Amino acid sequence: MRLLLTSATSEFGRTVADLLSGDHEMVLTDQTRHAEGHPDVVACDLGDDDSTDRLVAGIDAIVHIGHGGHFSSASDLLDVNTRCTYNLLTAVRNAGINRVVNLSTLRLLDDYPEHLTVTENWRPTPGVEPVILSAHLNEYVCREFGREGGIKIANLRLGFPLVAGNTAAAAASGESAALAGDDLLTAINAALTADLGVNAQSTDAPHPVSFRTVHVQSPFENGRFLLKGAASILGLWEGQGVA
Amino acid sequence: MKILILGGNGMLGPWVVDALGDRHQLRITDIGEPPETTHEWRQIDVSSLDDVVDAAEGMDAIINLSVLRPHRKIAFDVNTRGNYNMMVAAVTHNIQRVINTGPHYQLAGPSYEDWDFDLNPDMPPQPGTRLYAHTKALGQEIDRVFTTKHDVYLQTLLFYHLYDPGDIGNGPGGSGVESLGKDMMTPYSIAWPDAGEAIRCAVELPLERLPSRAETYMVFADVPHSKFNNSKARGQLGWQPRYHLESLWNKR
Repeated sequence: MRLLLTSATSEFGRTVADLLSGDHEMVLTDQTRHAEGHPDVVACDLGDDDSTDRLVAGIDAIVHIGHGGHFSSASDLLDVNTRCTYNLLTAVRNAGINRVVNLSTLRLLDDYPEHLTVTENWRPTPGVEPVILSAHLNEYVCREFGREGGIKIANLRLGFPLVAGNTAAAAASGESAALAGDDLLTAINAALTADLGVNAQSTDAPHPVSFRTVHVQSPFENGRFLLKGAASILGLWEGQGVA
Repeated sequence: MKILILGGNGMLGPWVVDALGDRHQLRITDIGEPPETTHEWRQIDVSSLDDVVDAAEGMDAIINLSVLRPHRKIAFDVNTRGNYNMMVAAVTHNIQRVINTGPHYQLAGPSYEDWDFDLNPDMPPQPGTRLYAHTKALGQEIDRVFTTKHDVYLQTLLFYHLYDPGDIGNGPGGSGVESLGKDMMTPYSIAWPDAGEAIRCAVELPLERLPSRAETYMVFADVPHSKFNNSKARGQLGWQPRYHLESLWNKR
């Protein structure tokens, strides 16, 4: 697929780009101030002008970094994660691009004690720290676009920390919510094509949902977060991980 | 009470000043020109964190009336980040009472209003992506998150269509029935003086009578169609609408 990746010059963005580049044709983009000095990156401030429309033209799907990109001031983080996400999704919807994978964070649920069986049905408990608050607001924007339809948005809440390598490396890190790079790639690839399921309440004629949150950490024993959503929605790691 | 008013010289601001002015010490702020007032005045930009934090020093309460509707960037600057700035200011200066305002559809967007009745302020927000509703809803969510982590009490009053009662033939000075049958508007309408009075009720409600640190109210006149429900504003705030805007919905 021809994928557009946002915040591509951030450390996390570079990691995601490297992971995906073996399977996909990558178009990298970042805000103008971050794109300088990166000739392989398309500079775009994700404004409400036609530059954002041009950015998404010819793209099959978007991988949007909603947490873990560039660190900056509170005002800037809030701006990028609300207004810029809004502008991007508006352009995506207008262009008829059907799939967005939003990369969020399981830190939105970090307040819950580790012994609780936290799933996608538990309410996020973000704090007011700008990095976390802005990630929460970024999900909010995505959710409202999903509610209206026209785009399918897979909101992946990623485990932490991100560990290079495979599941065994994540397990060996000693971090209960760790996510291995190999598992992140597996999850993004699944999220790019999975149908995201159907409305569970609509039994006669189930219709596809257009926004779905899925928790993604590496599937090792005694992991912190349940992976039932990854199994049922993305078809991954059935029976693996905790519980 | 010493009260900071953000966006104090817009459409609603003067009515709020009328309702509060004799009873409280006001610091009126706006990005626009100063009003004719005997109260303290400052010109500030709510999208500036420093402006808002500075303006809140020494205050007991903050009322946010700021709003920007059509411009994509400024709408986020004012309606979303302006709320972040307001809450940082409240926390910085230990201000416990924050009153926010917005349109009803920042909570009850089309996915509610097009389908349901008895819509009430304790539903989970579904603003949709309409710019005004969406940006105000994000600001509201920022406020709510702050109340989960800090000892700040948030009261949000939702309005929509606001009428001068003298223009639509209701109450003192009524003169005409030009708006009769504008049904798309009547589900959520209020007279300007009643809106100002609702904010006064919120300001003066003892904090210990609030059931939680984040309470929302749908504030509109008593209308007969039960599309929305204003009983919480009446019961919890002790507010009574004076104008019923009857010419909007009664052919007699």
